[in-house]
Amino acid sequence: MHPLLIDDVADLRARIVGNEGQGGRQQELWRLIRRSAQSAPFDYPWFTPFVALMTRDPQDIANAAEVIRRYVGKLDSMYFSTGLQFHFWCFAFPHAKWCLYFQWLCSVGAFEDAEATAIAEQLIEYHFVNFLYGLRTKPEPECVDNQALSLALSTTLVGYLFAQAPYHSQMAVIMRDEGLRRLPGIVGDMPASGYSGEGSSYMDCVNGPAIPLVVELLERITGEQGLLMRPLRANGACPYHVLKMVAREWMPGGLLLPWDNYGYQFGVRAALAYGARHTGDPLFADILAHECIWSYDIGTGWAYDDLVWTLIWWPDTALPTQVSRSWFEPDVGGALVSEHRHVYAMQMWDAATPVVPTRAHVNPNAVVWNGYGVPLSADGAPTAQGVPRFQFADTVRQVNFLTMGQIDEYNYGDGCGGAHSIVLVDDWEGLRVFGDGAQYRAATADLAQLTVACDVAPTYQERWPDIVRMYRRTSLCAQRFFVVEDVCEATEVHRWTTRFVLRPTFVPVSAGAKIMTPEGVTLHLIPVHRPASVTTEAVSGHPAKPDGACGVVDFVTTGRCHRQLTIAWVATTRRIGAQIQQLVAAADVSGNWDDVQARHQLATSTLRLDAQLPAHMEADVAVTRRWWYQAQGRMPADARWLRLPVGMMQWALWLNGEAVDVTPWASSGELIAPQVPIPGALWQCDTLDILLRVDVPVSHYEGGGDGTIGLNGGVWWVHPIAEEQLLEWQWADDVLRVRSTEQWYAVPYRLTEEEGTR
Amino acid sequence: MMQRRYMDMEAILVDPHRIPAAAVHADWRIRYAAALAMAQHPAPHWIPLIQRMLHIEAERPLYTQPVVRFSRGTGDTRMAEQIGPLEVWFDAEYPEDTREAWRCRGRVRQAVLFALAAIGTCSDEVRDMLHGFLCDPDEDFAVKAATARALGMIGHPDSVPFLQMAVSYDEWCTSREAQKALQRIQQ
Repeated sequence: MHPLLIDDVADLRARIVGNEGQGGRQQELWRLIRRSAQSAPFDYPWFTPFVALMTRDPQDIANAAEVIRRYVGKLDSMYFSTGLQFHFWCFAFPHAKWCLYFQWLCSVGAFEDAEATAIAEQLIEYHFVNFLYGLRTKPEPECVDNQALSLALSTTLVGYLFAQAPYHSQMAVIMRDEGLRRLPGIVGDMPASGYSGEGSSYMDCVNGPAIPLVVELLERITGEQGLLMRPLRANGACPYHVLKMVAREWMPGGLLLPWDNYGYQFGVRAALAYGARHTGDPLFADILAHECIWSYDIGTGWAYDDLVWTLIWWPDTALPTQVSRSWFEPDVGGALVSEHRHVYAMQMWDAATPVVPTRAHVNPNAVVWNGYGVPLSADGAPTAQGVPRFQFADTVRQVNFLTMGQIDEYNYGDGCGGAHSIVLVDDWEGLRVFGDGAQYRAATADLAQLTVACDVAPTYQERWPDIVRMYRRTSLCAQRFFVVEDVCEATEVHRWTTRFVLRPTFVPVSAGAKIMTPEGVTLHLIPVHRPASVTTEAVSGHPAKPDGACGVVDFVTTGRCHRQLTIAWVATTRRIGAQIQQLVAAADVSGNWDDVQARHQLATSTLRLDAQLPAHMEADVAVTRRWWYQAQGRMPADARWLRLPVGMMQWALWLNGEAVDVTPWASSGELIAPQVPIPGALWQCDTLDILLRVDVPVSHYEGGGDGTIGLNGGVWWVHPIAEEQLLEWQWADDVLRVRSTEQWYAVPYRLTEEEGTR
Repeated sequence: MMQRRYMDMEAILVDPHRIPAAAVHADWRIRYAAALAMAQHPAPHWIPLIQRMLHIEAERPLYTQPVVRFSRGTGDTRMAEQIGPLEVWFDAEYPEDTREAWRCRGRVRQAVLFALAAIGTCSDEVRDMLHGFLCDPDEDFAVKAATARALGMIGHPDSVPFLQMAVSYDEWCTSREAQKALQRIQQ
């Protein structure tokens, strides 16, 4: 028996196990997976079957067989869960994966024949009565989303697996044929852009990871080749375009676009590896090399096996990894990225969900910024407690069809226009659309000139038929700063608000508005063309991530026309210096050492780690939740901060024996590496004693379904630098003249013509 | 028992002669397989049997499950990613046939509705039962969506007001199937 979806298992074993001792990202990834599975096989069960398939070690195989037994053992309980009964797509995809891993394990003799038969029968019947049922709830052909894709792919896969010898199941034949009948249409009817409209979370965690499996499975079943690069339906997406869109959602620094209710999150990797291996498109390799982190674990198709597939599909050949990261997709939006990737902006006009914009938010022409790898804009959903700021009286929804016997009520106001960096009309923050018509028109871009533009008037015309134009053009000038030009026109007088929703915190400026993030990156926004009243508002509780807060900047004018030119100036006030390597490390198995006990233990520890990853991923040590790290060394003269790993849990820090208050990074530290100030009293010290306590995940599941991150990125000195500040700005004679503390910029910039003068 | 049931389900799907007995079998999974087999061999002579199947389901407490607790997790989608061991605890002892009804919910009904859609016709009494599914606030959306779809295939004008009501439902699958059914009937 050949393990399904692996072309040449001997070759894969040679590549992975045979090269284990060598350096490189691929080997680092394999060691991480193997260590996790061997140290805690039932806490990292999604790694365990693959490790068994690779090592063929009897203990690994026995552990993996037990994982399958435990999975089968939970199935009956699930019938009584709202999850299985109403969100069956979430259970279908992982069920199919366990069926696949069962087949892999059968290929290495993990089960006696009788047990294998009994397990197979349970797996087949469970899919037949639960997920074929689920697939048939999805209207055909118009239901094209992550749920339908999950159901169709999983039904095809399970059917194909068990329709073959030795099972020859008729239930499987029915599932295979029904899945196969629907699967090409669900992928092929995705928009040609490859963007399903479901935001980064479902693109990255379901659609992207599904595509390689769809291609591999369909090619095996149909015998066709080249499906990755071919539209599966006329005018629809080619599977490659879905992968490309997944890659485009990555921003410098490793976070994904925050354009749905989940806000910022880290990206997963397998779809990128597959894209790199099979297309040669350097964008995929670029992101794999520069943005991905291994210690992030999240269900991809509700299965925590993204790293396994990343390894399976890792490209054999080195690919170029320096490519332009700017992109434009006529039906979605465009991103402008400077050559050094220090500044980034994305303008979006993807369609919002009509009526109830829970998932695809109302963000017509919204612009989000990123500077020096740090997000500068705020987007997403409020904290779990909810805040009234973006909850409106007419955006309450009651749902009674997704749980047993209860009514769920929520407010979807945070999905409406007011919570986004758009132009508001007459202060209606609840902006949303009700019809199915087009929401934008005339999207254009010139990526050589680094400019993107779109008119989103149709979004507004439902409510204000007199509006004739809602045009926004974003440009990256001199590889240094952005200009956002708004041209809004109507036949009636309106109050127009160019709004930007930003991360905290506002800092005082003489003109416009300016923020400085906790990482010392600044964004200064200045209206330069016409006078506008400028207001700022600090909002607590929205969005939940990264800060649990945001700042709202409004530039307001009144009239029949709103013309605004906003300069967006991004700068940094810090420089990342040298990494502090080879920290002394010690596992706190009891989890209750204090700093004195920790120092005592560290004094005799011989373990040295870089705190790049959780210890069990970095070295051959047992999986342990709590770790202590210590470094004692010469402090660079002008070091003023320490950059610590991102994703630390329950962490604490002592500098020269003094505890540091780390609560300011309690929220943002999950997504962005904290930069902790070194107290002024220590600046004159020659040496610094750094003592760090941190918890790490000890299973896939610590994030409660929303992703788990273990510490990542190491410890670094950070130094102050002079911020390049904006001093003068003027637009005149088709030239934008800007003077900073470092130089003059004179950029030819011709204003967009007004409708009446064209 | 599991192996026997599996073998029975397999057999029904390859031999339509087994459908009549399977359609009234005590195990709902076998009835479900029988309904799928009917859809694969659609014919009006199944309609009395379908009516009987719907009556069997109507007698079962499909939607009375109380809130349960799990040894881990809360019963929501986050349990999809987990393996066992995982136990479910009820607030009281319930007979196994009641638990079987809770496991089943609308699965047999949906499969029967797909069979009806494949057949494309039904009796007045069956059609009334279908209209009742659309009106019942406690009915699962998987059944409502399949009902709308089946009524569209059956194409009787008496179904129009029920489908018009279903178009306004908040649940997308039902609303969408109702729209399509109306278009089909009114063509």
